[in-house]
Amino acid sequence: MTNMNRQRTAYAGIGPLKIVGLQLLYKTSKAFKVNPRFTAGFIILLVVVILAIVAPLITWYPPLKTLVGKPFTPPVALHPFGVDDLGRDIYTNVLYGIRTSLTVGVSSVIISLAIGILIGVVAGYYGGILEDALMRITDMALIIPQFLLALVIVAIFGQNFQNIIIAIGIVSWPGIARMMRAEFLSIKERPFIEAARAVGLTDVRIIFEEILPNAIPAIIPYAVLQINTAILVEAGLGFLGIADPNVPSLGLMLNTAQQYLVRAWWMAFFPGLVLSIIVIGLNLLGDGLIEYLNPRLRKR
Amino acid sequence: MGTHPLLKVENVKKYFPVGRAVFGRSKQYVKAVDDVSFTIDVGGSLGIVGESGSGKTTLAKVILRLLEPTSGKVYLDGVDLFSLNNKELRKLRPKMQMIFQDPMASLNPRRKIMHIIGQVFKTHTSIGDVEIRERVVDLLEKVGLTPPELFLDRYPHELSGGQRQRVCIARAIALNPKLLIADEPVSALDVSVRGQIVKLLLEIYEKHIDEIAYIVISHDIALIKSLCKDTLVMYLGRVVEKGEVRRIIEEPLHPYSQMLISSIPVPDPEIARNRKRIPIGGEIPSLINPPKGCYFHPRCPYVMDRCREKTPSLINVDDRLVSCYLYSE
Amino acid sequence: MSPLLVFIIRRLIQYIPMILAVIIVTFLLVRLAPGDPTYILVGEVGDESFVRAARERLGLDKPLYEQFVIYISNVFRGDLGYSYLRSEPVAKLIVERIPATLLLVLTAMFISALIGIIAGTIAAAKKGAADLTLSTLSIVGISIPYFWLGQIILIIFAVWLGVFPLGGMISVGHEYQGLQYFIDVIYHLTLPAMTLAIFNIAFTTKITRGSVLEALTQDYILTARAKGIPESRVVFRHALRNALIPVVTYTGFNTGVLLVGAILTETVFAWPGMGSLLYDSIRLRDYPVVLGIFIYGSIIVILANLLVDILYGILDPRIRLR
Repeated sequence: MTNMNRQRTAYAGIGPLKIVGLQLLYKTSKAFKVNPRFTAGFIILLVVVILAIVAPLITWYPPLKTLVGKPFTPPVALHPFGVDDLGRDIYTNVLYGIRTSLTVGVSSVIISLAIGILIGVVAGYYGGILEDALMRITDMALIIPQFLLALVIVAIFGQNFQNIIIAIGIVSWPGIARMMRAEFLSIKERPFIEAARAVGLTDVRIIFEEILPNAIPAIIPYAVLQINTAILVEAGLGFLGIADPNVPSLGLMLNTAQQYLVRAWWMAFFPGLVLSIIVIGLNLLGDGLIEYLNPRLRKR
Repeated sequence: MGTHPLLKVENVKKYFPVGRAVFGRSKQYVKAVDDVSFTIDVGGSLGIVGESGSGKTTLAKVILRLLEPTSGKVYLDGVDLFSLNNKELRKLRPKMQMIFQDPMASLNPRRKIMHIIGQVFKTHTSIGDVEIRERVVDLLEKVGLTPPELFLDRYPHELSGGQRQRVCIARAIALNPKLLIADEPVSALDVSVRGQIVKLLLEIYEKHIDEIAYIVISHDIALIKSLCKDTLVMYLGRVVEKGEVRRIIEEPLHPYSQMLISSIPVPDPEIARNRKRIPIGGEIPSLINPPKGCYFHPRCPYVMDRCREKTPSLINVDDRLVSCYLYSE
Repeated sequence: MSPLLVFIIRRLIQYIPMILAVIIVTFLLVRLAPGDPTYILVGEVGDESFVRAARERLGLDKPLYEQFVIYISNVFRGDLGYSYLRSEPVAKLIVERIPATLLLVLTAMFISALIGIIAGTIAAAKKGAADLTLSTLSIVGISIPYFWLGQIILIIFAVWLGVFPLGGMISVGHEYQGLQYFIDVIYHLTLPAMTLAIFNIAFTTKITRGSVLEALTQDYILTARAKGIPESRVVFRHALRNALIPVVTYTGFNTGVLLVGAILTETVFAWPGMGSLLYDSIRLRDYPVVLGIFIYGSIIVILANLLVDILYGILDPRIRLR
């Protein structure tokens, strides 16, 4: 091996860079340095996730259990966030509510990613009439108020947890589909795809092994923001009373609180505050990622 | 040396429509490849030379059906390529391979070398993962990436330009192609490694001379001379001269060939001084509205009236074919 | 035909099928739902003979395509079904509520445009600390769920300070007329409009900032500066004027989000618009009204988009060619 080659090998050998996952982590750590918003969002979210995980350890009542305290007790040591109309401990339910929000957010985004990627990929890769038709549908779906559609679906199909996740998932695919199509259109034209066709790879392999790994990074920040939207939609549905009564939900707590705004401010204040913090965290994280990944924005 | 034609190209045309079709007005076309025919025997090697925009790469891609032809026929080992459906074509692809201009761009940046080469076997053979690995290791050794184990888990961006081109070559020869097209195989590389890649290509050629045919595409006729026996000279999608490379360099017949040859730097100043120099004049005309008659006439120092009227056909002159009125009658 | 007319017709052809699509989606959802669709279309009223009669009238025992024809022709005649719980046609219930919702949405849109455009322009012009503060604020503004924000505003201003009413659109028990009526409505409108505006200000600020930044890089700005025009005048008169078109368009295209925002905000302040109607209908399981609001809401949003699209085409002739 020539001297130059050995040198290159030495650079290439910076261990962690070899693995994509670690590479991402490395990039992420660089993002921390240059982007305070990203850092703030990351820390907020880390705390929120930890709270959701350890909820059973740091609460002292079962979730949703009624009459653990005197109804309408304002915040006291035993009930830091107060007690609601049915004697449920708000602190407990808020912590379990974080779990619900995050579960709904992540699961429904997985659903919408699956649908959106499928539609975007088919449209972007195959083109032609299929693409025109799919993009027409996508444009329509983008204009129809997604919140109302999700509301109607859950109202008609039944107010349970799965239906809420599925409904939010199937109304929020259009943005992802549009983005995916754009990515596919541009990656499809790159020479390594032609090279892949030249060695006779199947369409399936070209789509999943060649294009998709190159298209995914672009939609990650978007997916983060989409989690956010999903959490807000779930809360909004809950606020209007569309929720699974057997699952603690921050939105549903605000719905209950609405009737007692004059009497018990804490019933509205704490669930909404925590909800806002989750959403702020995710927004900061998503915006930070977009800014970091887009050098044109970063320069300013 | 075998003598039956391995590749037969007949009147291949590739026109690209320009702009949108507007009602009542006929579409305009760019004639990227216009009526090209040639054959290559087993063991044959053909260069295609011309300036950028002459349709060399388009021709190669049409032959491999990476682009759909406008008309014409291509036979590989007797099989009519343009009549195959997608599935049949895909099965045949390993037999006709291409090495692309830019090795960096033609390797997936997010895949390791092992995957990039291994997927060829995964798609076209039923051999298991362990054997695939062995085959990939063999290939890497064959293209001079040693020790091969060091490269398997690398990403393209971790390699040098020459190493990347070696990976591309390994991928192309993975399933013993009968036809290998190299499109500007060294132009994206540092000058220092060009020689090594040329040597590697020659090695592979000589090792498989009984079964393979080569096409090398380049703007550089000197490179073609070191890799091929015969060459086509292309200008604006048409063949203007065809013959042995050595002969064309010694005595170019078509004025365009003369122009190309005179632009080769010659190491010996003595020869250089005595050589007839034809200055490259003018610009390549627009492909959308090419000039009438011989496409070269606006730049040709020997232009005659009839050059402006009608395209000269390819005629036999001595040991080659040339399309120029200077040699008719 | 003039190009503008061609453009408008093309847009109409593009948007009208969307309304049809909304109706088809609604129809399919109801038919796909588990159980008897009659309950969804009639509401959960106990009387068995009543349900049977309704089933027959809606053609629910006929094949699916016939049901669809009946449904489509009903919808296009403006018949969205009947709310048996309220003994009134769905369409009438909803149409009565539209003006209140529009009043809220348009007021909020106006306030947020005013504040958002000024804040966004300052953020773009000043850069540095002011920019960072404003854009961070706008992230917070976008993040806070506005229905909760409404609740907090209500608690502070109506419950604790008592300076604004707890809800509704007019004071009950007073038969105000003329100017007094007008002032009373404004008084009730203040808190909900403020809530909805705060949410939208963040959005308008963000768009304005981007748009002005873009405009500031143009050559005519350089020319204006070279002529010695004061910087504030360059920013507000020259850059902002050209940056406004995208701001206005985005605001228009954002109608859907604002409408949903209004629906949730109305619920907080018992503002008698479509949102309160929806909230009550969900509680009463009055499904025909819920479906009707979905259809009406979607149509309002589609029409708003169509309007903005056409306006955009009139303002910026280059768009028409696409």
